[in-house]
Amino acid sequence: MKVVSSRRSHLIAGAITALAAAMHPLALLAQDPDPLSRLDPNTRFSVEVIIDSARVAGVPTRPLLLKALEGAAKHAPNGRVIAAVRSVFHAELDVRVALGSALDESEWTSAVSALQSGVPLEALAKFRGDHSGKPFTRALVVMTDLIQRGVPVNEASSAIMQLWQRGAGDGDFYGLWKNVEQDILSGQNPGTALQQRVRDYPGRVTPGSKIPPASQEPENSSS
Amino acid sequence: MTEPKAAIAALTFVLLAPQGALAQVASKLQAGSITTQQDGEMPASVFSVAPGIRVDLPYLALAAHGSAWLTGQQWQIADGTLSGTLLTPTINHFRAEVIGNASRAFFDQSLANDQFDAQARLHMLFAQNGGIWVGGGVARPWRIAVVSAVDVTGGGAWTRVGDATFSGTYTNFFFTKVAASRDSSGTTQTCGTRNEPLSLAGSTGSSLSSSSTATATDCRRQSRFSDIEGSVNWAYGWLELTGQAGYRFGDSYDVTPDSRRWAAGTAVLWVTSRVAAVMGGGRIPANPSRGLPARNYANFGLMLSYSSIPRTTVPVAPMTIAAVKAFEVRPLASGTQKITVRVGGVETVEVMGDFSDWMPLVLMRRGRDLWDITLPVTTGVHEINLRLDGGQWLAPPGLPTRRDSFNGDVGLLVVP
Repeated sequence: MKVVSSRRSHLIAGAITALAAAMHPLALLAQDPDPLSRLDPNTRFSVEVIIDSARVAGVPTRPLLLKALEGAAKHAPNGRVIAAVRSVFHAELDVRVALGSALDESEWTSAVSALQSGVPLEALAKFRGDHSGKPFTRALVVMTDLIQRGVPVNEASSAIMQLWQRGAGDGDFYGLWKNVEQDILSGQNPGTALQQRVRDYPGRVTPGSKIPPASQEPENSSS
Repeated sequence: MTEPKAAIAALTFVLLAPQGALAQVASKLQAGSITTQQDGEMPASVFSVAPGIRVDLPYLALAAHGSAWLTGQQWQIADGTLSGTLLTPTINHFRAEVIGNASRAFFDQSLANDQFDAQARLHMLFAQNGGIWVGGGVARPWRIAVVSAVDVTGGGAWTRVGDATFSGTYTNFFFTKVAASRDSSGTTQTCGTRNEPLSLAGSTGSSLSSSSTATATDCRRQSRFSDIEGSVNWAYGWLELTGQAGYRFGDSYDVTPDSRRWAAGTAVLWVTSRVAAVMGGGRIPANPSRGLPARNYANFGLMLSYSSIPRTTVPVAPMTIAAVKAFEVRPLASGTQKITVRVGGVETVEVMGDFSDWMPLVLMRRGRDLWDITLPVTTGVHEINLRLDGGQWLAPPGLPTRRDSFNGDVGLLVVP
């Protein structure tokens, strides 16, 4: 009798656990077999055509799917969603030309972001020449943000490339970004702020060495 | 440099300087043609430049906007407003708001006045899907000799249906008018004779005040009317349409026939998140407290902004990202990340990003102003948005950002 009772309680506990897992939003996400069903049929068809084209071209399809889902989540009009997905696809083709196709997902994401922010293809291609396994994701993320904050594209791309070629690491780029952000918030011209901060670095940077970051990056945080 | 030119230059500098990068500062500059027509008069067209700037702090918003008109070869300031809004946190769906304005209106050479007004509102909010409010306030016009004070009470309701926001308001205006001993129909009114001459200093002769010049006696008359107004705003991607219509209740002495009913519409075509074409037209009722007559208008112009122009269709603004005191992402075991947000005075906090296939995830409240959620987020670059009280999706503070192709920004979260 006790065995039966124990088994029953295990069954109930298991059912509750399964139910709780199924109710959890992330579980629901993982179980979403057809995320494109969030789009209307016409938009979905257009997005699927673009995704098929990407598959044939050999560039990642997940960023395209994600861009479509982002547009749907933000209630963007259908035409804007399709245009955004197409823009990512074209950017991916350009990234492949600039950097090759041996990129991980983060590199694809950051490179596409940089291109869409206006970074010239030639500037992006420079990261390929000095690739040698060194990650450039953070450099591109910082470059993208600086451009958005008003730093002229050429100034941002050349400054970041200069630091990257001198061996700056992720912490250096984070420190640079934090400092420039603070300068801009203090009212400084974005381009001037970047130039001054980069000017502070060269003396301390030698190829292969780390730039002492202005602020450490223990985690992604703000306070 | 004349005063209007200096003001225009200063405002343009403020707008074109790279202040858009400053946190929580939004500015815009609208320029275009405005045609107005009062009943029985020829239409008058002017080129208008209307800058505006707004600074949002967690519980305080400061704004300045104005316009200058080019009439012939001369610039003139058409209006200007400085305003401050104090907001309380949302507690159990309730939120209080205190608004103060100092403004100047300069309709034409004969109609110029200044006004201070203050009002308080109590909002009841249902996330960002709807709400009701009641409130009241007082306005103190200057240089309008025929109106000594205006008390305002009213209420309203609004709701969102899909991409549309509907709102309705009912507002009572109580005036203390100083009028002639005979009204417009010639009927003698009960008036007291003033010992001193009625001072019209500062009044440059509005249609209302000019009647007061005919007599040395004045009538302090309580006057009132009520406005009921409905509006709808529909925003769908690059197109934003706003329409409004209203009706004014009151007796014929207080409400002129040309202000009984009115309607207006505006279309905004968003070329990018920083550039929009604006066109609209309609009828504006008279504003007796400012001595402004009813008129028809049509405008067409461009709206420019250094930073993305915030679209606010909800009568009470949602909490801005400035209210977020901290946003942290900390790694936990087995590839999960704990996202913690410190923000007070809100009822819901959500995040979404590529890691959730852009499905909104609600954070759990852990304290008065502490919210968190634990998510499986892989190493690499992730795009993330944050939303407070069902408002707009925003880039979390403290992260690099990028444009999202949908007139907004996303944060770029790098998980090492």
